[in-house]
Amino acid sequence: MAKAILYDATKCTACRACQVACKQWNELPAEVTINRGTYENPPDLSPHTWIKIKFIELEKEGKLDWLFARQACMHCTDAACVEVCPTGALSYHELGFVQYEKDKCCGCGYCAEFCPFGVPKLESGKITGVGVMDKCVFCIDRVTNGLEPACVKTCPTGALTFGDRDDLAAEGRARVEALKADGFSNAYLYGDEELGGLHVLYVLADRPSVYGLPEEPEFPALASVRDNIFRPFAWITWGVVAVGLALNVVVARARQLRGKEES
Amino acid sequence: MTPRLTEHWHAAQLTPNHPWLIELQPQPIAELGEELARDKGIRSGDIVEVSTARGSIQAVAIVTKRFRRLRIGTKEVDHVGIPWHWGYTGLSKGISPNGSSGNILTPHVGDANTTIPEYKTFLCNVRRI
Repeated sequence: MAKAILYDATKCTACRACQVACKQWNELPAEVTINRGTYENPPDLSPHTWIKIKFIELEKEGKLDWLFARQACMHCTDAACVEVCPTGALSYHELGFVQYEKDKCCGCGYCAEFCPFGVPKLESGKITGVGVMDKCVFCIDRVTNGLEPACVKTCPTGALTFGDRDDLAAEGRARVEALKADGFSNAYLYGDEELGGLHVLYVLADRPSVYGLPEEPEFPALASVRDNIFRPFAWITWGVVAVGLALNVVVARARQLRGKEES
Repeated sequence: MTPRLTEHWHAAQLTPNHPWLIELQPQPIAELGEELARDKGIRSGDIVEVSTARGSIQAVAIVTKRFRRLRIGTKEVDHVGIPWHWGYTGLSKGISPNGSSGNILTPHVGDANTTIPEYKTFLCNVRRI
């Protein structure tokens, strides 16, 4: 049964308890930041910051909206990062989310390159400049032991909920209908259909682009090149080599036998 | 105006010692509306000096749409918001050498009827440095 997180942006107050709870459970160090003229901090996701709230001030028809959006791994069903990961460090968990084994990461950075949401971040190594990637792991240790992820556990307003994906999608759709009835005509459930269904669903009061999310996130065409072209090509090459070697054995043996007969 | 932030507690004897909380709100801030910022030539992220008859502190300016110029009777009034939470201890002491505590600015006036100190609103000046 696929699990998911439902993020209701209309209930979020941007207290950022999720950011702290994430760091606490996953034992991530604090970053040294400065105030850049906004409440938003740290500036972006990083190997030490797996979840972050984005602050958006928007004036529409003389009415001010202060919008908040959660930034973290979306745990796609069709995840480009899993597709391109050469070492199998990224894979699909049976509960639906994208699991990550840091020990296997070789630091190639393909995942960071292909993620449509810009989530995977690489630590820069001291010698080569590249290091291993880190991202939200859906609190795999908690979730597989019957607990909710740390961010959901701490959320004081109920903006984050955890449960079976089907139930949460139904809840999200009902919430969007309620918002539409309240006059938010652009209300939208993000992640219901996107990239085969995300395992983090967003209830938005406006279009996704207003919240800084891609309207139609696409599975990058290049991401499937390895599986659809290189892998078959490699198998064909191996096949040709095997056939060639077998032929060689047959021909050589025939010659050997003919040589014996002649002598 | 002296508000508070979710990330820190009161005059912040405890919370500025915590790296995770200091990461979220690292420096003292002065929030001001767009109209006042335009008049004073202040942009978001600039260091500003906020001064009153009692003293002055330095803080990072946050220019926001959330603060509006108020029209009170015939007078136009702007306001500047300085959260309380930075002082002379902790991981982040602020920008001023003496620590950017909001308490440096506040008047020592009490209301005898309510027994509440008058720390919330008072007259101040703000300038870019």
